[in-house]
Amino acid sequence: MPLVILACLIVGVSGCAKDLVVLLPGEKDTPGELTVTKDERTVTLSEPYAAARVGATPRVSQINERKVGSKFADALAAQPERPQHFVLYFHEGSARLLESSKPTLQEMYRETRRRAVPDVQVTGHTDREGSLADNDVLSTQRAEQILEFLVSQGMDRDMIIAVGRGEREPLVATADGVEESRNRRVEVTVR
Amino acid sequence: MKSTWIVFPLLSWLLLPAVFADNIGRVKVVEGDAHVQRGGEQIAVQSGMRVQASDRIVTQRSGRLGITFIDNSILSVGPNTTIDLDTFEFDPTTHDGAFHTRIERGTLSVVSGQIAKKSDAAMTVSTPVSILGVRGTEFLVKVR
Repeated sequence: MPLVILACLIVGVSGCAKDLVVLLPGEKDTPGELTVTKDERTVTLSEPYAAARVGATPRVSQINERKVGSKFADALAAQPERPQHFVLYFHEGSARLLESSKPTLQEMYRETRRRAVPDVQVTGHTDREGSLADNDVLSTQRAEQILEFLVSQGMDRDMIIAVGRGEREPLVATADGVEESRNRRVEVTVR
Repeated sequence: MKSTWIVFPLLSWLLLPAVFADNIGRVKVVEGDAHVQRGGEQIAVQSGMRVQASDRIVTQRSGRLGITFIDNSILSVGPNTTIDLDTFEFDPTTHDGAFHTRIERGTLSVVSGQIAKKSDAAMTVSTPVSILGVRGTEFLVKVR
């Protein structure tokens, strides 16, 4: 240990001050991956609390969870709330909300009221019944229906983004032309 | 009737880049001394303010803040930190995009979003000496 301190004093403070990168567990405990590259040397972090200290080259190690908490306390404390997602369902070929989705609509609206600075992403989808172009329009209409609901409740239009993704992202995969109620939906993200 | 239905989505795609250029994310949390450097101006950070690509965000000793982006990614920084939002492009329809941040000094916490999820090379964070490739992760960076 003393040898390391001595070496640092000789090299100078900046020579020993290494960048630190820490991979966290992630929401569903799937940390994913992070590559750290310096001067064409790359290391990959893929375990929770894997750390790279980037000196002359990046080196991988593990870091203690508590140490992470203390080194990054402020950045972590300033983390905004995670976005919350809601799914609303629609009648076939229509931008009319299903009765059964009305409670979710209210839940989503309450979430926007709970946040200090809410901004909302509304994405409309369709099933694969109908043409690509028609479904682009229908999905946009569904998204705009929800946008107008929020605006009617007093939300600033400026804080809402509404788009249609047509039939591009079904929840449940089907063949073309097949109707599927679970795909007739709007996904709302409240940030 | 049919032709207008085809034209409408084409037009909305043309509109997308203009709509999102200055609406890539918002500051949701801010405490203490923090400002944004934008086009030669220095703007005090306020909760709810929009950030733009090319913004330089600077916190002083007392400052810390957090931003959510329109791809649901989150950046938050501690005190004595400088970060540059070099590039942010996002198409909410396809989820294609690019998000490149540089941390000059300080501490940064990252939760990646749809841009990183769509493509391996799409989201990166650079420090003065290294570059981090982000693949669906939450992580922390400290630059001395």
